[in-house]
Amino acid sequence: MEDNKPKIILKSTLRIYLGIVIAIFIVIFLRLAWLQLIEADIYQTKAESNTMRWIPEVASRGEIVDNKGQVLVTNRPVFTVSLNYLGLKDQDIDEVIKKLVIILNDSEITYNSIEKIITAQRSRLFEPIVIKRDVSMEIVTAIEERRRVLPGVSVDVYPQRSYNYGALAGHLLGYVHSIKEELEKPGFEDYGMTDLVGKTGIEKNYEQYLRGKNGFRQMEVTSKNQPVREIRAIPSVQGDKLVITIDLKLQQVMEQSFDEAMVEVQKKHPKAMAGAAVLLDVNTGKVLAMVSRPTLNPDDFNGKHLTQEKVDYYFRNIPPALYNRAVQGSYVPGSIFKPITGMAALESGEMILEDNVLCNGKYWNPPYIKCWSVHGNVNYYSAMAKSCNVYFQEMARRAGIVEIGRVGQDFGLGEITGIDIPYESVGTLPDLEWQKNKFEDRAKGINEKIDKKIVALEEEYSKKIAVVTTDEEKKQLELQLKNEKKVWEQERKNQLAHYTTWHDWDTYNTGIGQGYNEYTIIQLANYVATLANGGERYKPYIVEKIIDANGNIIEEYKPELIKLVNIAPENLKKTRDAMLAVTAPGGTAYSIFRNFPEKIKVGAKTGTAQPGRVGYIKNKDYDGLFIAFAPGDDPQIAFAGVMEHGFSGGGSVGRVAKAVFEEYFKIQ
Amino acid sequence: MKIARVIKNLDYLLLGAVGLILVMGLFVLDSATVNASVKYNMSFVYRQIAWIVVGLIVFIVVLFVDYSKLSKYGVHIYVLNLLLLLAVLIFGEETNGAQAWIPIGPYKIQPAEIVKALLILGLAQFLAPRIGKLNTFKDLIPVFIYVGVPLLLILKQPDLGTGLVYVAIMFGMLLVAGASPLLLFSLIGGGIGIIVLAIYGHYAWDWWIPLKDYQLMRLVVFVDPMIDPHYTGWNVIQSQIAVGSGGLLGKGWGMGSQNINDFLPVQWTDFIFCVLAEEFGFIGSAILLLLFFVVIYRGIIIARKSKDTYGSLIAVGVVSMIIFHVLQNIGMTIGIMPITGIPLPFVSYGGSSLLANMMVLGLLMNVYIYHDQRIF
Repeated sequence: MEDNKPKIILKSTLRIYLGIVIAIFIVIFLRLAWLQLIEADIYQTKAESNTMRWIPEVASRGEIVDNKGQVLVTNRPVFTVSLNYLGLKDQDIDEVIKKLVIILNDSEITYNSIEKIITAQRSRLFEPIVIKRDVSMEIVTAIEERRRVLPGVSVDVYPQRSYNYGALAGHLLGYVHSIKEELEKPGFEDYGMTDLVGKTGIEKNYEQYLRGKNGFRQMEVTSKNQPVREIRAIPSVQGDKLVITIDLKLQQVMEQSFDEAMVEVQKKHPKAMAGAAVLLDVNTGKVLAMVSRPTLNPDDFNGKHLTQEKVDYYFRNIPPALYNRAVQGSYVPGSIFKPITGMAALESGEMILEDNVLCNGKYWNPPYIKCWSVHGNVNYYSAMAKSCNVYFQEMARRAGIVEIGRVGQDFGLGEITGIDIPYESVGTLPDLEWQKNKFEDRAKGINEKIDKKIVALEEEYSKKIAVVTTDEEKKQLELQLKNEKKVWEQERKNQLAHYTTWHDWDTYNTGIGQGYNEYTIIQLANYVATLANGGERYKPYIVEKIIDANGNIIEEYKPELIKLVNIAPENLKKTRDAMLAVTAPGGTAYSIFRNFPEKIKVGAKTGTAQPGRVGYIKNKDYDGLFIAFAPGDDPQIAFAGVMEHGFSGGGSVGRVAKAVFEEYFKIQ
Repeated sequence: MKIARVIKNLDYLLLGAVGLILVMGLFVLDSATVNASVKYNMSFVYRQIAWIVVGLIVFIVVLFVDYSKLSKYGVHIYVLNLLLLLAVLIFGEETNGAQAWIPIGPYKIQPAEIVKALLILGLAQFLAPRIGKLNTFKDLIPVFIYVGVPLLLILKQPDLGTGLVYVAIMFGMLLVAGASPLLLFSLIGGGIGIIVLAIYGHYAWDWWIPLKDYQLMRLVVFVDPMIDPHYTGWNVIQSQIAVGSGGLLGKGWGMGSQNINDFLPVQWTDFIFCVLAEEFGFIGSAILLLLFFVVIYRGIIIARKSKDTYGSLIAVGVVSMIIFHVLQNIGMTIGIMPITGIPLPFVSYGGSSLLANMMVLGLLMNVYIYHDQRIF
């Protein structure tokens, strides 16, 4: 058969063919074995990380409610856009960021600003990088539609602080903002980069209660990150609810009246833009209302990116809005200090009530500090009513600085009140202890300065002496040095005598609330409350109850008596009476409380202080201060307030006192 | 009488292997379409069973036509082949950038699958008289032209996968027809070399190359899928994760996370092997591989036993087609071949592919049944 030859060829080629086929199968088989047997662990891990997501469930912060249970601060769910850097690792990050910037369409969010955020989070890139909180539904949709081109971009729902009354009590409540330096501190170990944390006010002080417990869900997800099923879940627990002593209505009235008073004062004194006021319950130390101006709206922070305008408003402008002036600001009290001077004089036994002091316009002891008027013969009541400087300088002289210091200390002036919001200032009570420290510091400064001068002199002369040749010239120079040194030693003596000694005029100045005096508004309010309630000094407080998510009361704060003042009750009574005279006809605050009924008499004191701070022109710019309590026979509430550049106490914050007293006592 | 003989002469080992592959395929398909069946609101498994039934009919029909009678119609077959491909170009509906489908009434057919069978028949007839006369490159030129014309039409669609199957069938049949293995390997090696050079030139010197961007990227991510892990590299990475994570025993039927969470692209057609490997592990993949080897091995035996060279070449064509499909389809999921979408025979979902495979299986069986001339 001639056909045989091709068949023989086929037999051998098919053998080669089979060989190739076997080779192909071996290659596939080995590769499969490699993947499925040897590297199976690696791929199993990869498959798992493909599909397992730990989704943190951020706990809602605890609510904050007023003393009647009205909700001031709560939470609402907001969409938050973040970048997951690990998801971006292999991507063109620049492209993703550029696309995201376009979608977010927010003038504050640029390529550079996002890069800054990423850089700031350099050490914790495994956590999501929050780009923008509280984005609109449209933007969420836009991002979801572009999932494929936005790898690593995620949209999550977080609870965010929501303020039912806007900026109301903003300083007191405080704000929450992205965690930063706290991460380094103890107690913040379990916080993540995306967490918000209380930065000021009670949000800061009660952070551990408000925060709640984050939960998480372990989810299996699809390639498109859609959840398939929940593997397990630990639900979040909302933070504890804080019941605070603030009365919503009183707070609203105080804020509104403060703003109105500022508008009124600004007509003549345009610099009047800042201030603070506090209303206390005299029998407990509860803070019923507290205001600080300029306004702080906590929602401006709340984890958001602050615009330059807002940064300026809160941090840079004068006056900066950030500070809670009720506890952080120290103010020269001016005449509202006079009741302290009066009590010191009474306590020292040097004041006889019937004794008249003649005011002819200035004090008779040097430096002859002026009174703002000529009051003629005045006693404690009329002097208080008219705010006579001569009378209280004389009383300060009689009582002496030691006694004034003691009384001031008893009333908690120049001392932290311990109120439960942060950054409280100490203020300055120029008592003996303060003087000692102050003068030691000053002496150290003066000595250092003069020692330096002398060393310089000696060097100068040793150089001169080194170049001269004759003994006579040398002696001449040595003599010169000796004389110059003497001059400096005399200067040292003079300066020490002047700057490190308490002078009589320091006592006079202190007596009328000038000089070194500086107190916070909360201290002043507490001193008035202590005076009003008969000498019990309580710790002022804001949070009265902490209730957990199940409704259990976990903390209840009771009034805390700090000190029973060591002052004779009749002296307190006389001083209260003197303050009642201030609102009686002829008193400096008469016109303010004229409309008050007979049974609700108000004790008050106006103050006009020259703070001597930057921005104040001497004898032209004054802070207006005001303290008050009521009712006169059985005091319930105490007020203290300041308006920077308010010019007078009655004309500025006096109006605020009037408004809150009217609200408290329901006076039309 | 004829029926009894046909039944008696069937290669039951081959049939058994294909049957097991089909059954395995149905189980895997059921799992692979957990999401798709909801999305498209249909049962892929029932449809596939229906196609298997149709395929069996085609298979049986093919059995009763003695293949040797087809050798006279070589030219007709070749012309039919060209006409079908032209029809695709003219009437084809575009899906995924390729005009691969022809709508016939409510159905769509993919001629690319059928033309593979036509090529095998035509080329076997073309090569049979040339056995032993294919020693030089010059001798191969007519063959290249014969295959080149339909190949160009396929690449025009463009359907790179089917084009490669054509090339594989041609080389397989040329090898068996006695062309120098060295020459063939040099040609394959040279071809790959030219492609690599062209791509390098494209990036280095901006050369023009006849590839669409997505095709080019598939070749690039074959080398390093991390260049584009979320797009073109996605399939490479995710399919290997699916296979590798299956381990020895697999995650269990319907339990493959890569599969049910949609990390795999079209896992009921091109990437169905990943589902099998993920859910049935190395054991499952090895069994499937073994079954395919049985099919291939029997095919080679049939080529050897054929009563004529025409039959041998048909068998080799069929075997080459199947083995290339297996190599390409499994190979791309385990990172030894670049991504090119061609189905896994008897396993991937799809009527055209199944029909074509049943048809070529019929041809193969046909060659076997009629190998002993004494029977008839």
